[in-house]
Amino acid sequence: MKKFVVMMLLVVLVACSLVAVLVGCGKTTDSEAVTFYYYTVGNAGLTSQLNQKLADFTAKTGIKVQPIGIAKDNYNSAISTKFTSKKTDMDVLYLDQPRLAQYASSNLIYALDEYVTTSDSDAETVEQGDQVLFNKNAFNASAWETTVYNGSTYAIPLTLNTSVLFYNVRTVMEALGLADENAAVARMETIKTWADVDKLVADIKTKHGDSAFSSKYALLNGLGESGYLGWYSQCFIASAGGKMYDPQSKVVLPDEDGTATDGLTKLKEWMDLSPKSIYNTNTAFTGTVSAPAGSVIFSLADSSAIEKFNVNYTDFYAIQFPGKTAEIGSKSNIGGENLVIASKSVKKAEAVKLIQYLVSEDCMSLIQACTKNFAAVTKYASLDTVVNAVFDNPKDSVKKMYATIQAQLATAQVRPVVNGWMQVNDTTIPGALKTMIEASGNTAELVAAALATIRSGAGAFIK
Amino acid sequence: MKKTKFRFPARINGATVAKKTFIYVVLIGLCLSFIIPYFWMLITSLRTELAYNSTGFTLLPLDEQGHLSLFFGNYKEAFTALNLGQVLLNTLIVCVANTFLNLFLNSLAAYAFARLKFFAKNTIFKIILFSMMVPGTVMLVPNFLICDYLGITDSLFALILPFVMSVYNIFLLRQQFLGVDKGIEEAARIEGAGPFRIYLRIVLPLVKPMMVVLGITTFMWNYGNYLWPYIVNVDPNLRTLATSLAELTGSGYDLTVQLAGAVIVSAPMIIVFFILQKYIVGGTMEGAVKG
Amino acid sequence: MKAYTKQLLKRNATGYAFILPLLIYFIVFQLAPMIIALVISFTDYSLANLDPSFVGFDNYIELFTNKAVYQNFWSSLLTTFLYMLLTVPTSMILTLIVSALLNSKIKGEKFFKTIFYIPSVTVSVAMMVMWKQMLAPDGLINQIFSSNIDFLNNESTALVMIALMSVWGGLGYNVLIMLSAMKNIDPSLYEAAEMDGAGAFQKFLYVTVPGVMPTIFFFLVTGLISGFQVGEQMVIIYGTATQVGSVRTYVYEMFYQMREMSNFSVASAMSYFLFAIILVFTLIQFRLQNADAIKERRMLKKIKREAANEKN
Repeated sequence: MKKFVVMMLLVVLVACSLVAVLVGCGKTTDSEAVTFYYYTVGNAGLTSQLNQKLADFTAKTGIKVQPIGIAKDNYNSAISTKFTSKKTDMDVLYLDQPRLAQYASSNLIYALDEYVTTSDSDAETVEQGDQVLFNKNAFNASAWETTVYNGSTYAIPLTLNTSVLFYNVRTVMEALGLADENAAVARMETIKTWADVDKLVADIKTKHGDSAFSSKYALLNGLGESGYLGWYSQCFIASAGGKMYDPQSKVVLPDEDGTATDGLTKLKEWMDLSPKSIYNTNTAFTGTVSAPAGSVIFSLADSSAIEKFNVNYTDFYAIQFPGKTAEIGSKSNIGGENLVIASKSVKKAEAVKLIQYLVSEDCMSLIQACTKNFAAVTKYASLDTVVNAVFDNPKDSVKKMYATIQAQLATAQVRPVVNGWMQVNDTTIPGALKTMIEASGNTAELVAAALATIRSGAGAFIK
Repeated sequence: MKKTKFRFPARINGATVAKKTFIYVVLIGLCLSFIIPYFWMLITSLRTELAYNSTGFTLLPLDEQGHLSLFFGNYKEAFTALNLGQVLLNTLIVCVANTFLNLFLNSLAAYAFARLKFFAKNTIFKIILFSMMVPGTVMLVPNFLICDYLGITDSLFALILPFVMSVYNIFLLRQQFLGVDKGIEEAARIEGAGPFRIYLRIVLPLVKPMMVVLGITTFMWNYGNYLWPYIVNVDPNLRTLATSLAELTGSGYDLTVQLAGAVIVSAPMIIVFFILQKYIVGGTMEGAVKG
Repeated sequence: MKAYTKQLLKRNATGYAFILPLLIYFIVFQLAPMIIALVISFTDYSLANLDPSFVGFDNYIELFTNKAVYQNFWSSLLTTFLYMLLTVPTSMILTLIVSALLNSKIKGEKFFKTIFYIPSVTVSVAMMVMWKQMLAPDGLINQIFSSNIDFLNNESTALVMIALMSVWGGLGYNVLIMLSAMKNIDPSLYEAAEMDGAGAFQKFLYVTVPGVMPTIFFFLVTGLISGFQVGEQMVIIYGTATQVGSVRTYVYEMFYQMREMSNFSVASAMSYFLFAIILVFTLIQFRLQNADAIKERRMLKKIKREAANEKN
C-alpha cells in the first residue's frame, strides 16, 4: 500500500514535470513591449483595472505594454537590483522620490529636458508635431522640484504625499477639558504657529497641573527612527524658514540665520514634552474601545497613517504643521513617486508616450487609488478618489484629514535632490537626532552637537 | 530492545495518577498552541474581512451576524493575487528538476567517492566536504554575483542550477554506499558489468530508502525556499509559491486574503507530511545523527 | 607496464567522469562565487560605481570603524547575539522538558511528536504570514486578550516575538532528536538511581541530562551557527528596509546593504566576516565531536584490554 502511494506520487511528479517543461519552454517575454514597473497595493481589482487601462493604451497607440507589478515592500530593492543587473529590461518605472539623485548621478535614467515646456494652459501635456511636451506649470511645484538633479529634469512627477499633525479628538477634549467635539476641533484649528502650540501646552498644564507632560500626556507620538526621523525633521527645519541643504555652498543644514538651530531646538523642545514611556504604548494615540482617549496629543505622519487610526470608534483630525511665525507659515516635507525611463531602454519615444498616458486624466484617478497618494498634476488631485480608494464608507473626519493633507501639499518642501542625501536622511540625521532627543542637559549645547554631528557625518555620503 | 527491558514499578496510586495527569495537561496545552494557530488561519481564511472585524475571538466560521457560514471569496482573490497557475507551474518545474537532478548527480558522485579509485580522490572529497562549512546565507551575495555574471538572473535556471547538487547529500549517500556489501559488486564485475552499470543497476536499488528520503527532503526544501528566489528573480512570471506569497503579504492585502494565500501555499506540504511521515521523520534523524 | 598505465588511465577517467558534474558545480557555484565575492569585497563596486576599482581593505576597515556610515554594523551584531540569547537557552530547556515528558511512558507519544513537527514542514513564508497576522493589532493574540498591541512594530516586543516564533517552529525537530537521544540512555542507570531513592526530577537531572549531553552540545553549536544567520524571517515580515531597529540583525543588515543600497562590495565584505565567525563555531563543533569520538575509541580499547586481561 505504502509502496503504491510512493509510486503514484512519483508518477504524478514525472507527469507534472513533463507538462511543466513543455509549457515552460514555449514561454518568452515580449521583447517588443514597453515594460512598466510599478508597485502593487493589496487589491487585485485595482491591478486588473490598471492592466485594462494599459490595454486601452495599446489599442489606441499600437504600443505594447508589459506591466510588472511588485509588492510595495519589495519594490525599491527589486528596482535597484534591476538597475545593477547586467540583464535589464526596464523601460518606464515608478521611482521613489529620494532615489532619483542616486540613479541620475550614475546615468541610469534618462534626462528628459527635451520633453519639458512651460505653458500658460493648464493641460499637463502639449503635443508639438510628433514630440510630447510636459507642461511644468500643470504639476505641483514642489513635486516638480524633486525631479531636477544638477539642473536637468530626470522624471515626471506622478503622485505626492506630505506630513501633517494628526490628533485624536477625544484626547484633546479630555486634555483641554472640553465637552464638545466641535469646540475641540475649532480650538485645534487655531493652531498656526509654534507659539500657538506653546499656548496649547500651557492650557493643558493649567488643566492637569505642571507635571501633565511628564506623567499623563505626550505632545508627540515619537518621530520614529532611521528614515522617518530624517524625513520628519525637515518639517521643523522648513517651518523655521530653513533648508536642509544648500547646493551652492554644499552646506548641510545651513545656519547663518539660525534657522537650523531654531528648528532642531523646537524638535528637542517638543520631544522633551513627549516622554517615551507615555507615547510608546500602542493605545497611547488611538486609545481603546472602552477608553478611546489616548495620552498622545499629536502624531506627525503622512496619509498612510490614516488607515491605521482605528476609525471605528473615535474621530481623528489633522492640522497643518505650524510655522515658526505667521509670516513663514506652514511648511512640511514631501514624498511620493516619479516616473522615469531607464537609460538602458531602447524605446524612449514609446516610453514617453506611456508616461504621457499615465499622467493624463484617463489614468490619474486610478493611480491615485492605487498609490493612495494625491496626483502630482494639480487639477487631477482628487480628494474623493483618494479617500474612496482607502475607505469603503469614509466618515467626514476622514475626508477632513485628507483635505488637510491636500492643503499642506501646496507648501510642502522638497528634500535635497543630491546624491547621497538618502543615506544622510536614513542614517546620519536620525543617528544624531536620536542622541539629541534622548540626552538631557543644556538644549543649546545638545542642538549644536547634533548639528555638528550631522554636518561631519553627511560629508561621508555627499561627495 | 533496550526499550522493553526497563519498566517503572507498576504502582497505581494517587501520586502516579496525578503525575500522569499533569504530564497530559502540559502536553495537550502545548499541543493546542500548535493546533490553534493553524486552525485559526484556516477558519479566518473562510470568513469575510467584515465578519472578522465585527466579532471578537472565535474559532468558528461566523459571519457578521454571528451565523455559521463559509466564504470562499478570499481564496478567489488569493488565486488571482498569487497568479497561482503560473506560479504553481514554476514551483513544480523547479522542484521536480532539482529533485531528479539532485538524486542522480549526487548519487553518481557519492558512488565514485565510496567505491571507485582515482587520482586525488580523498583530497577532492575533503576539499568538497570543507565547502559544507560555508553556510547558505554566506553564499547568497556571491551566488547572486555569479548568476548576474552568467546572465541567468530572472530565469528559472537561476533557481535550478545553484542547487543542482548538495555536498551534504553526497556525504549521506556515500555513507550508504560504503555500507553496501562489496561481494555483490564484485560478482557483477566478474560478469562483465561496467562501473556505471553496476552503479545504476546493482548499487542504486540497494540504497533506495535513502534516495526516497533525500528526494522528499530536496523537493520540500525547494518548495519552501524563499530568500534566493526573492533575491535573484524580479519578474512576476518567474515567482514560486513562496515568493509569490511574500509578494501577496508585502503588498498589504486584507488579513483574510493573506491567510487564504498562506493556506494555499502551506497545505500541500503539510498533507504530504502526513502521508510520507515515515520518510520525512527518518530523514530528519539521519541528518541529525550523521551531520 | 603499458597495460597497467592504460588501466590506470581508464580507472581515473571513469572516476572523474562520475564526479565531473560535481566538479563543474563546485567550481561554478561554490568556488567561483567565493573568489568573485572576495575580490569584490576589496573593490568599491556599488550602484553608484558600476565601474569598480581596487580599494584594499577599506571596506572592512570602514565597516568596523566608520560609525557615521555603517551605524548599524555593530548594533546589528548585538541584535544577533540578543536573538541567540533569546532563542538558544529557551529552545534547549523547552526541548528537554517536552522530550522528558514524552519519554515518561505515556500514550500518544507519536501523536504529540507529529503535531509538534507540523511547523517544520510548513513553508517558512506561510508560517511568517500566519504569525504576522496572529500578532497584528487586529490578530488572534489581541483578540484573545482584547488588546490592541502592534507586537511586531513595537521596538520592545518585536525581537522577542520573532524569537518566540523560531522556538515554536523548531520545537518539533529538536524534540525528535532529543527524544531519540533519551531513548538511547542505558535503562540500568535509571534503575540504579531509583535504588538510590531518586525522584523523577532527580532522575531527570542526574541521569537524563548527563545522558543527552552530546545532543545538548549539538543543539548549542547548531543553534549558534543558525542564530548568526537569522534574517530571513525579518525580510519576510518587514521587507528589507524596516524602521523597527530592534530586529535589524547582521544578516538583515547585509541584505540592506545589498538590496536597498546596492552596495555589493560592502555586502560581500559582510558575507566574509559572517563566514569567519561561523567558521570559528564550526571548528569548535568539530573539535568537540572529535574529542567525543576519541574518548569513545579509548573507552572501547580499554574495555577490550580489560576483557583480554580477564581471559588471561
